[in-house]
Amino acid sequence: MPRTRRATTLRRQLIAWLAGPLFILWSVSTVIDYDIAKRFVNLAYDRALLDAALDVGRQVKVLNDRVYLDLPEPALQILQTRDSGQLIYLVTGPDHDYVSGEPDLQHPPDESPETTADRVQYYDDEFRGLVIRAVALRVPVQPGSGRGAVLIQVAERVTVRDEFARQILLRMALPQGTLILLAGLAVWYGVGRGLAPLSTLRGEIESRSHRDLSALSEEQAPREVRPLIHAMNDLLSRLATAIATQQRFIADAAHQLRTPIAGLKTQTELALRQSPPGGAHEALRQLQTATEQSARLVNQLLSLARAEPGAKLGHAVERLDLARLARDATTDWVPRALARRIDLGYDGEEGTAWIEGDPFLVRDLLGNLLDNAIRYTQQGGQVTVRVVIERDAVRLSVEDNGPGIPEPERERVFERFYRVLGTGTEGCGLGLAIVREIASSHRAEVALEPGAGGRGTVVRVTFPRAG
Amino acid sequence: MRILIVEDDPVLSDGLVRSLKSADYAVDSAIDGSEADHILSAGSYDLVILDLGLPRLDGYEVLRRLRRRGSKTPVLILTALDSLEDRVKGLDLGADDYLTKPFDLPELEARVRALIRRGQSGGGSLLSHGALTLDTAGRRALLAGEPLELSAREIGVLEVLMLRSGRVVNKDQLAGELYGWDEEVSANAIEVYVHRLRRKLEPAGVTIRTIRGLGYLLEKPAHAQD
Repeated sequence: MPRTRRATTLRRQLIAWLAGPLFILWSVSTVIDYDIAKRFVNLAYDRALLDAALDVGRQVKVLNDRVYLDLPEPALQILQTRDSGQLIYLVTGPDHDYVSGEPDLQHPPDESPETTADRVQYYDDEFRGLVIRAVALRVPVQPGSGRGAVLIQVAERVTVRDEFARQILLRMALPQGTLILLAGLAVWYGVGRGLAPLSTLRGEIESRSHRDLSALSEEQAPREVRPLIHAMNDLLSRLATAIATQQRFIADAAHQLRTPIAGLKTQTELALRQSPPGGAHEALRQLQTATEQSARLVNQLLSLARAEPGAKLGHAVERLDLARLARDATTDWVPRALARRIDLGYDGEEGTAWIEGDPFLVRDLLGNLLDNAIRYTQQGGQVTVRVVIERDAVRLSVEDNGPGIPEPERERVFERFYRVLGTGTEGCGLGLAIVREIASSHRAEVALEPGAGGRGTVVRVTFPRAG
Repeated sequence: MRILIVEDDPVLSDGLVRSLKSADYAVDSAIDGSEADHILSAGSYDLVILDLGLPRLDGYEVLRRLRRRGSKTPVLILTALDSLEDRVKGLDLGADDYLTKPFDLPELEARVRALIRRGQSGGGSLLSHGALTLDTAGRRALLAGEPLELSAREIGVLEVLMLRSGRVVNKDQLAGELYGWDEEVSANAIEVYVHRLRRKLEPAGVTIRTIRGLGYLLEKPAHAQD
């Protein structure tokens, strides 16, 4: 199917309408998810950090007014090695005196004097160029003594938390994304399934020949599609009626013309016999030619009306022996060929060559091919009819060694009333149009090529072979 | 020889009457079906040329009534209708031949002659073709009045060719015609007979033409009208 522009399909539209909003929702939800994940990760890690700070706090001892940290090496190691990385700690005495830990750790940003003893403070900071999260805990040296508090700071790098939050996010967002993808696929498939009746309909219309104007089947179509089929059927039936009316008119007109033309022809031929050679005789000869032309045109119009789609003149398709029809038709045309000194012959299948067809139309087809070949071949020329059986086809060809048809004209000669210029013959240009019309009603292919050795013309009509 | 022409178109009817009169037939004409029926029930004719689309009584009905009266008069149907059904219907009703309008006058005249000859067949008749005459009963041929040496089979072939002069006769038809009174005739044998006939007839200007892939044709004498 030729497509000049990428047409919007229902499927694509549905997918776009579904996937767009879903994607936006997904993005927003990812941002929110990340925020939530981070909050809970922080909460959990902060709690662990506080636990560590409390552990440290329990080991702060006072001896002789001196604050010191009673942390044995193994305990320190346990404290420092956590799965989330190394802990950094700093214990500072009530008078800002260093007790233990990393002296580089900065004091918490909020160190107002009213800082109470049990105050726990979380904050973000930097340590040796790394982003850290810290907790500051103040433990009174001696409760109620007013001696101030020991400041315990414990910190860890935030990368662990970020990593954890990212992982949570990933585990949440991935299934969501997959879900969206699956929804998209489901829509794609569902739309396809849902639209299947339409593509069935399309197939049915595409596979039809242009001659078939019968109603499309409504039975299997879903309710939504039925009005469409109904409307199409309505159009088809109106079209068929219009075509039939027109064809009946052409057929009637042609029939009506036949009798007066027969009268004209008979009278002209009689007058021609009786008139002595000279002026009137010549005029009568011209009249005779014109009459013959009219007679032929009328016959061809009838042929065409019969062969056209929708023609309902009651012809039945039957099994036909094309070889025999071709031999008979050629035999009938021999006298006319001899009158023009043309050597007309048959060469090909001697036995039978079966096709399916309407005998009347196939005879018309043969008649038109022979008429054309004999008409357009010069005196002394040769015309050969052949019927050849191929594997699943029967090929009829009519070849002449006349002037031939120039390449650019070859397609145009099938048009109605088209004649090749300079042929100097009184044809009406309907012959090949009829041939094509009849061939198409028989699912036969027509091809026009130069004859043997590039001379003349050969018209091939390839019919499907009947069993 | 009396011929009745039943045709409602005056120009065509006049043309047919004059053409057949000039060939020395006695010709009557009727312009509608009931007139034709009337004339046919009163008198006898050697041939009826009948149009189908007639006023008052159509051609089929005229033909049906004619045959119901037991008449064997040959009928040539002349009509503007040319569908297969029309043809079959006409021939089923007892028509002898069928010609579609518009037709060639010589063609009509040839068919009229053939139908009249068929109507009278019984005794032997003389077939002539230019300088050649064939006595079908006496099985003798004369060329310009002189007896021609021909075998029985050659005469058989010649008879078929002369009966269908100007038209193609295929080898099967020839073999079929000869089969009745001879043993099986092969296509090769027919070629031989035709070859011999040619040799004897050609000096007198009678030509038997071979039509490629189809058969033989006795060419019309140069001066004859049909």
